[in-house]
Amino acid sequence: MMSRMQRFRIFFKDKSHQNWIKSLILFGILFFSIDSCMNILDALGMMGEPYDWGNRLLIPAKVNQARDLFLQNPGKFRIVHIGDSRGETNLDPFYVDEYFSNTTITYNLAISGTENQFQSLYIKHVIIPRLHPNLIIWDVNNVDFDNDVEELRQRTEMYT
Amino acid sequence: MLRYYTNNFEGLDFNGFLKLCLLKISAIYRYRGLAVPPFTNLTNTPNFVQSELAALERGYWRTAKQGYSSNITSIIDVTINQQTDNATVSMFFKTLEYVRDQSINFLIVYGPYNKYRRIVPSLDPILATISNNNFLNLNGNASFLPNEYYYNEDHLNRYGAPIYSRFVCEKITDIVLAGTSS
Repeated sequence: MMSRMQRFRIFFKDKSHQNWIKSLILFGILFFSIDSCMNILDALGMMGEPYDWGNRLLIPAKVNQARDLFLQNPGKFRIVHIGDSRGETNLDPFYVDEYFSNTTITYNLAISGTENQFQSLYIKHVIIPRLHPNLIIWDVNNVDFDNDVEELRQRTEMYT
Repeated sequence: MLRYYTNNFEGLDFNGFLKLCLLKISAIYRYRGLAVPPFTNLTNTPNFVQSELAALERGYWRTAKQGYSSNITSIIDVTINQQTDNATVSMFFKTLEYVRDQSINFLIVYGPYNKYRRIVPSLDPILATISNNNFLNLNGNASFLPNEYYYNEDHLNRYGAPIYSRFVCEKITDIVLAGTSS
């Protein structure tokens, strides 16, 4: 009767098994190196859309978080805040809920780097059908409506 | 983005045309929903969305830094002669109509800028057509003058956000009371 160790050695001494194991190791190294590269690229934000298009990678994350929050607080008055980065930093949802003695539930759905046209689509196709808010607060500014944002950015730098 | 969906290539310069073409054929954009996530995380690094979300509280970016300083002590009017994009304006008002049709209340807020009141001759008359009940103009509001309220010229920090939020709350009080009492 062979021990388990002996059977193991015989298995590894077999040429055909050795080739099979070598290719398995090679495949494993390739898999883990590609996967690590993907992890690093993902952490740097390079796996998704370019940041120049706005931080739109956050859309599903924010919408899901808001949906969970609204479902956990049934019966409360739902307030969502839309806008660009200014909207993201300007409205404190905790302050709003405290102000109305927690009869409301507020979420800041502003996405930095986005413009008015995107926000219109965002409201119509994502926010209203998925979140059913009672009140939409929309932070706008003149840059949203400009047809030459780059030029405006240069002009803005002139008087700051 | 509107051009992407409507296939509108008109009036673009070469760079814009090239960008839109790349966007249309971009595998990342077209197959982004099918992107395979990494199976292992050997470096234990949070992914981009996780790290971005961790910095937010209910989607709100609570910034502490005060990165803007100026010796100006009063609001200065700045006239901006920008060309307002008609497509954006029409889409904006169509969205407002759609929101109204869905019986959802809305409030448009024109946020503050430190030290400056932005006067835009091509845009201000358009925004003035929105009902006063649905519009809050904080552009050039003297309450937002102190530098301590700002993260940079455009963005409020954690000390300025409550001031903005208070203005918004005062404006929406009637809407919220009507909504919560019914």
